[in-house]
Amino acid sequence: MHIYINDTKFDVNENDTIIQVADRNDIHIPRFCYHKRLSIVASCRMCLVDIENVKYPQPACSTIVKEGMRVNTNNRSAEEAQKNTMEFLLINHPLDCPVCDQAGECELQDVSLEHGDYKSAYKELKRTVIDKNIGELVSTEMTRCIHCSRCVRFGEEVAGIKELGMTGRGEDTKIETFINEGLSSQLSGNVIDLCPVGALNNSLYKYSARTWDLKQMSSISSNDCLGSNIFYHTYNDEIKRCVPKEDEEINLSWLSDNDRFGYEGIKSEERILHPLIRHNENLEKTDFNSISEKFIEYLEKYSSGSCAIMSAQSSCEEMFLFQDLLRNKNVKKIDHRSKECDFRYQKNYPIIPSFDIKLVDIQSLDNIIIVGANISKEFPILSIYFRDAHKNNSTNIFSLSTYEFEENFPLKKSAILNSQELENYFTNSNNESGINLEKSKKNLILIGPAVSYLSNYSNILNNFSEYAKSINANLALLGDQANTSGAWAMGILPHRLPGGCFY
Amino acid sequence: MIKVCTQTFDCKDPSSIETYIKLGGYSAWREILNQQTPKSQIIETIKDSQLKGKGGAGFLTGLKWSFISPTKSQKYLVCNSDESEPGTCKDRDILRYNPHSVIEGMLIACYAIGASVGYNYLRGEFIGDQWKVTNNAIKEAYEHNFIGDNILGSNVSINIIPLIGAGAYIVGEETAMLESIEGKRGMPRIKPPFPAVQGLYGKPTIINNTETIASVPYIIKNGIDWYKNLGAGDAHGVKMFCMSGHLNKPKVIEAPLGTPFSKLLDECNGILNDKKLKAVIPGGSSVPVVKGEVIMDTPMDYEPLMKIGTMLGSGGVIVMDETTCMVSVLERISRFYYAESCGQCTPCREGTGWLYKTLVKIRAGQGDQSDLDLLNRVANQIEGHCICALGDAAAMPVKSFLTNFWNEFEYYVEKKQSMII
Amino acid sequence: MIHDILSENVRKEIDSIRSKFPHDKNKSSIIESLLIIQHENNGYLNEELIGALAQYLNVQKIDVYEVATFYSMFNLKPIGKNTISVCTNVSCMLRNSDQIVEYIEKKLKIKIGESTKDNKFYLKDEMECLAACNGAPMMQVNHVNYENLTFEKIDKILDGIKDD
Repeated sequence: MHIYINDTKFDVNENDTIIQVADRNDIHIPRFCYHKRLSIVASCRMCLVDIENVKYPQPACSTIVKEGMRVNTNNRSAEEAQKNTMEFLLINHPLDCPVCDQAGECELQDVSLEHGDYKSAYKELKRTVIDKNIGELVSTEMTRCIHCSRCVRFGEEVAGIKELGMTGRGEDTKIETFINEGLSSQLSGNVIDLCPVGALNNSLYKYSARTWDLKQMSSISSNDCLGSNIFYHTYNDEIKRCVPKEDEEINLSWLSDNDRFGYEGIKSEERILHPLIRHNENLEKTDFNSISEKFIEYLEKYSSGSCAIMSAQSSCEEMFLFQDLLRNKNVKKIDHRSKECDFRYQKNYPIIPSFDIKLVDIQSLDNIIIVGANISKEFPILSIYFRDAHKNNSTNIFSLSTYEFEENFPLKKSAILNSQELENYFTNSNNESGINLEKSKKNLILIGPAVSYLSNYSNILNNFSEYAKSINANLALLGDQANTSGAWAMGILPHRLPGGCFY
Repeated sequence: MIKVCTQTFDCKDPSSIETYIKLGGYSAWREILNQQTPKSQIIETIKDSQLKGKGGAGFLTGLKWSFISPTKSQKYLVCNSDESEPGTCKDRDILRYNPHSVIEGMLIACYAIGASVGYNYLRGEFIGDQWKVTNNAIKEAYEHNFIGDNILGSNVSINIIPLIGAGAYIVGEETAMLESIEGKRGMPRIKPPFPAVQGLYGKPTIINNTETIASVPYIIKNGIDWYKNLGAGDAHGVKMFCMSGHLNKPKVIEAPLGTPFSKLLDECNGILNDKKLKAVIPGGSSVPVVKGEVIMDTPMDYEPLMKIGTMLGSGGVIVMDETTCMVSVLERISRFYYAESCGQCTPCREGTGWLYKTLVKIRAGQGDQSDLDLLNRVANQIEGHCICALGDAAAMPVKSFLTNFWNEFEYYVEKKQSMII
Repeated sequence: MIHDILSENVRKEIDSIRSKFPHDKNKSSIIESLLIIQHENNGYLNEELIGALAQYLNVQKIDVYEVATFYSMFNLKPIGKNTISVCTNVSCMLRNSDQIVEYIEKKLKIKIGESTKDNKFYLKDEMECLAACNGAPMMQVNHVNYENLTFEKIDKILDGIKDD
């Protein structure tokens, strides 16, 4: 199948929309309400394009291609329609770009430069909206809102909890939360990126830099073990904000609030910025040169009886060097598991404990059993995949936990158990679990970090991996720190060397 | 005078099931159940009768029904009793004086399209009278086993359920009504997919206006030719015309389609206080206004009204005499669309306010010539650029008022006062 | 808790509203439930009532709030006991509805959109056509239609409403 856009022929798929074809082929069509990961509402009317033999211009975001369709994105009719929409959008939009954080990366600003007029025929009073506090992370300037509703759809469709809504009607339509409520979702910060104008802003970044002065650096988030891809934006070598870096296999276009705002910890006053050394009762500030001399000295002296603990927030390279140095100095007790107390499992543990399947394959699962994790709070990005799996594939999701919580996706069944009950959940001869998974289905059992803190962790792990085998399930292990898997692989363990060799 | 939807109107106790049955009511429904009439036959009958949607769009009802997705899954019928097009007051009379024709019509429609549930959505402001009558009539029909499970032993099960809105003109738009039934803001959906494929709760749904639905039992009972022949001249069928405005006797008249306007005017004893006719909006305030002399001899039917640049719409005929200031009428109409825009599409959300505010300014004597051009331009920028027809409904009056009464508007901006004293 | 906020009677009515829709379509009951709740609460809704309904129907509060702010028959502020809506749309306007409004404003000493000091009347700013065009000018008092209004008729209707 093919269509023509601006007289060039393009191959298209049957259910493509015009905007999808255009985006694939780098043909620019202005848009506000359209977002590739949200449902289509076609309400902003910015993406109007001309279609041959159709009286009025049609929205490119919602118009499905037809064989031989001839689309024009920049002829007189299309441009006029786009210009007209731009005029309507601007009549009530404040001209406050100089004091708006969005300036410089504002979609409205960009599109108005391309499709707008330099003067306005609107002489009436502009609409103003009184702002209210919707929480610590997202600040609002709703007079700037252009009602694209991306933020509302994000809550409903992605975050799984609708907190922002559209209230009032007509010209007085507002985007707001319920009367006195703030945002509580762990994904709430994404509305800042989604907002095409400066209506929903990053509270922590507000007024701290201009977008065009920022430098962008890629990184990986260290707030959970999923490894979301991020960009740090810096000014004068200081991190000013953190935004998502598109990644089709992990965080898509999103970030959890921890990922986004976690960099604040760098500036924490509680952070240890200098090495400290204990003199009698007191910790005294020192510098790295003198501390490393001291360190080597002590290491030589006390190595045989020492143990070493390293945080699994470190990189694999750091961890490798750490254990290499210590083991060369004869320190044998090395570990990263500061919160665990039952280590009997460790011999049979995988060399690199991992999620076992790709996140994008979650969509195709039939059943998921979550053991001891509150996904939407602890792993918000993962919750997006679970929601989609439920929505698009009717995946059954079960949750067995030792504590109470809420999820932002529907659970087929959930049970709050004590650690003993959890251990025996699938081993009791009279299986009352009510979870009967078929071997022929695609199953996943996911063990959350909280389980590893239990005193019978080894038994639980053993029983669940037996059960996983019996139903042909993948077993996913979620580490409690960003690089738990790396710590296992790099031998930050008393019983294994890097690569998993027994020590 | 012919009577279709208005048959019971002059009876004593018009809304009771006894009155309706006495006049032959529910016989069409009984016949269908007895004969187990093929669904396609009913749809063909309605199609051939040329029954057109009487809510405003005038689409062939039978054709609409034939679009229903043939799946075996749940389907729905929705009767649109959200009568709120300014100038329209016919459904309110059907609902309070002939409620059983709506119920029987809904049953037949449900049967024909394979729906087991029919919702009748009444506008919120009908909560006083029509809502009570409708609920009561449905109760009566259940008691007679015309509705419910295994209706009259036929193995057919259909439920008719009344619903009420809470004040929103836009809900009269069929997809906005579906949103409203789903418990949301009444914001129209993008089409396609059309409701016949993906409607209420994502299931195939047909939505018809109250008057359309109420006509169905009479057509099934009396036949295709009977209904077609009710029309005058080339027209087929009848229509209820809501005659309002400057008339000696404003009223709702059920008349043959194709009846000349002048005859309807006579029925209302002419223009109030024998003034001269100035202008008419023949199909509810959304349709273009025409000058009195242009419409006088025009047959009130879809085609002839199109020819004179307007539409039959909902049949809300608003009559204005020579004392009418067209600037203030347009201001009032624009206020309405401004207040009732749902707010989702940019041109309508922003544009309806611009139109209204500009008209307020002109009326306050602060407008100038450029504002008239602006009105035209803004109207053109809204028209055809939105998801639903509310934008068009806001634009068409502006354009037609300016075209037909330009001198009056020009006078207003020049002299800062109305031409009409 | 929720049982203190929504009376048993109201909850019963909401349950019967729910039975009109498929069992998993809780949102569908919002509009009609709000009408019932508003009626029981002197004609207006508040944060607590909206929250309680959301909880009772197991929907998000913002879902209910969106609806409560969209439909014009819902009031989010206290209003007078008797609601007067004068239709001022085009058909009524042609039959002098503006003078009717003016007369009522003067009679009750309030402006449109306000309630009287004694809280007896609320004069709603009605933008919609109330579908009684052949009886213009008309008004609804507590959703009962009064048509072909004259000043005398208005006096009779409004004066006839008891203080209770």
